[in-house]
Amino acid sequence: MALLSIENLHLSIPSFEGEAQILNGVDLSVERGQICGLVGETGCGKSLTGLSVSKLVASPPARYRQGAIRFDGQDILGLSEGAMRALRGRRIGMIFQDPTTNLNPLFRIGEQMVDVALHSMGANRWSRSALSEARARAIAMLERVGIQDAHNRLDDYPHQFSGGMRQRVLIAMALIGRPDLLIADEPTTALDVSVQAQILQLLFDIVREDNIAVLLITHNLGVVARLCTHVAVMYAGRIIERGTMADVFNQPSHPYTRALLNAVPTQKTRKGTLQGLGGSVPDPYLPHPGCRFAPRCAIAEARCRDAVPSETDLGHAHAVACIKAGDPA
Amino acid sequence: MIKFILRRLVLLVPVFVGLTLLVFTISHILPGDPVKLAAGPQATAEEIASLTREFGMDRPLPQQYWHYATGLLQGDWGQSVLTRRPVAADLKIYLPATLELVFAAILLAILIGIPAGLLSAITANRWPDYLTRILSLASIAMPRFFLALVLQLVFAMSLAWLPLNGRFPIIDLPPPTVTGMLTIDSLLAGDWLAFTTSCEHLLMPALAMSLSPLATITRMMRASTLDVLQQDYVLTERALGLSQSLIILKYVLRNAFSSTLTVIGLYIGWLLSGSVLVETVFDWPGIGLYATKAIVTQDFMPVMGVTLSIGFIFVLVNLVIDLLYGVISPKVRYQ
Repeated sequence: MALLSIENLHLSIPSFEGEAQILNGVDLSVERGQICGLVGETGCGKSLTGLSVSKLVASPPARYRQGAIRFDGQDILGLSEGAMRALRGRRIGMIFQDPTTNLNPLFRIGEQMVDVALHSMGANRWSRSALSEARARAIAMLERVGIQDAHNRLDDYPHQFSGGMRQRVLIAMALIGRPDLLIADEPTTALDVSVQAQILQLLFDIVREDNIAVLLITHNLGVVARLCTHVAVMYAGRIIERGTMADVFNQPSHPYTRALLNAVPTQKTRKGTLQGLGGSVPDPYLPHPGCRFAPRCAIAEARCRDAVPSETDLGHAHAVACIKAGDPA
Repeated sequence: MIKFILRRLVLLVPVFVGLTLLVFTISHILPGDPVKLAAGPQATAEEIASLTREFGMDRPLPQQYWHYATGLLQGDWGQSVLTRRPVAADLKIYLPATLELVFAAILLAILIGIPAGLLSAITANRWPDYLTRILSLASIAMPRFFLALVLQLVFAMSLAWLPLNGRFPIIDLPPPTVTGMLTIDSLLAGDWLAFTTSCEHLLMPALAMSLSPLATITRMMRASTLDVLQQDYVLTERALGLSQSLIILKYVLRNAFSSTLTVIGLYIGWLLSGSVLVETVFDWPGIGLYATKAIVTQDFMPVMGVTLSIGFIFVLVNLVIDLLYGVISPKVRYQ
């Protein structure tokens, strides 16, 4: 039984233009010790998939039309807010994109960390011993994410930290409750390239040490290649290919995955030969029938436009949602 | 910190020079002769001339200004032509009365407006929100003097819960004067009866005065809370399991309050200068009534005294507000 499994998740959000079909049957599972990269272009539903796992998508207005999210056997979508809160920060940690806006600017980082630590301990806020225990945990966690002089820096405000340091603080906050699952939504996108590598390495080391399952949401294939054990490629609200890192990167079976990998420049790429992908993402309000990728697909046929392709199992948990996957190349 | 305060206090000097010049010039180029008005219709030309000399109004304007400005520095705020009383002594009586009223009004507005705004924001587009929005719109639209009359009709005339007007019953013994604000003075003297009496008198005028800042604070608080609730850090706080009440009452409140603080500072100045209507209805012996009497008789000195003291308090209040920003926001503090 996987720690996290998302089954056929459908999510739609009403707006002035109609009902936007955001997720259209997401299937995904993450085991303990796995780092699963969720990749796809902007607007494909990666972040909303991550937020759904913590039940942070306001619903209503959003509506889960079908499917389920199971965390350690529990049906997340059926949990009450109170029961969900007992999972957040304790069993599920989250890190977001921009470290400059994810810390409250008016509070010392120690205060913010202690509140999260107190919640994760399930302790009484007014107990002095719990407070000092929470503070000790905050210091230990800050040291673990590589913040020097953690004892004193606890009393600093967010603006006294650099971007990379703030992301370290946020990682420490997300992991202070020793969660089983970490959802990291573009954790390095807002950082300098030189800092990105450090943060990724730090994240990698900690989740390996603590055997944490990670859902790493990113649009950066380089990050996936460096860190992840598994990959799920998302397009227009659906996972179109998933499998181990090696399988998906070495034998990409969906034309979209191939197009994504081709679009990454390498040292061998000659000037003028970089390949992009024509067209744009389909309209979420008026989805056409059939494979969502068909209008941009180089190998699409008439039958691709008739029905939504189901997942084909290619073995070793490598699955692809393309009716041509089984065809001889 | 101390450097910041000193710098701001030094900035007060040009503000006051400008203020005195402006008020002095305007009051002296107005048509009409205050001395003639004060002397009365039966006064002879000689009497008027001698009065004019007595008040120094026969001298050239720059000289009069100089005399006034140097007098101010020595605590001499001039003399009322009409009553012959020194302005400084009058202000000592009337200013605390108005200050007490204004502070009570703003306190009421904060104590009710902040929770109402928060409530309105977290129940956005549901009935508690609609209710607060309608009430605050209505209270901005309703004139203060009208509300004052309604309050008097209901609470003083019909229900007889509160005294109709005035500040303190003449037959009772007021507490010894320290600040001039009766509520504070009676507390300082430990006189519980005087405290409740002065609170009873204060309540209705303060309520009438607080209505429009209350409505504004509520709406400001609602808008800024809604804005803060959209911030990334609130999502992080929720994602890591902090309770809704902790997030709202601790984290969101402080962020949302900082933009409301500016409005509070501005309102104190606005209430000080606009206190006259409420003071008239409730017969509250404050600077509003004092200034109005002086204006209709063209008695310059009290008008200038009132203007200067309002200006002084306004600048001082905004200095305090700026310091409070530093308490709320660490970024302001370190700069």
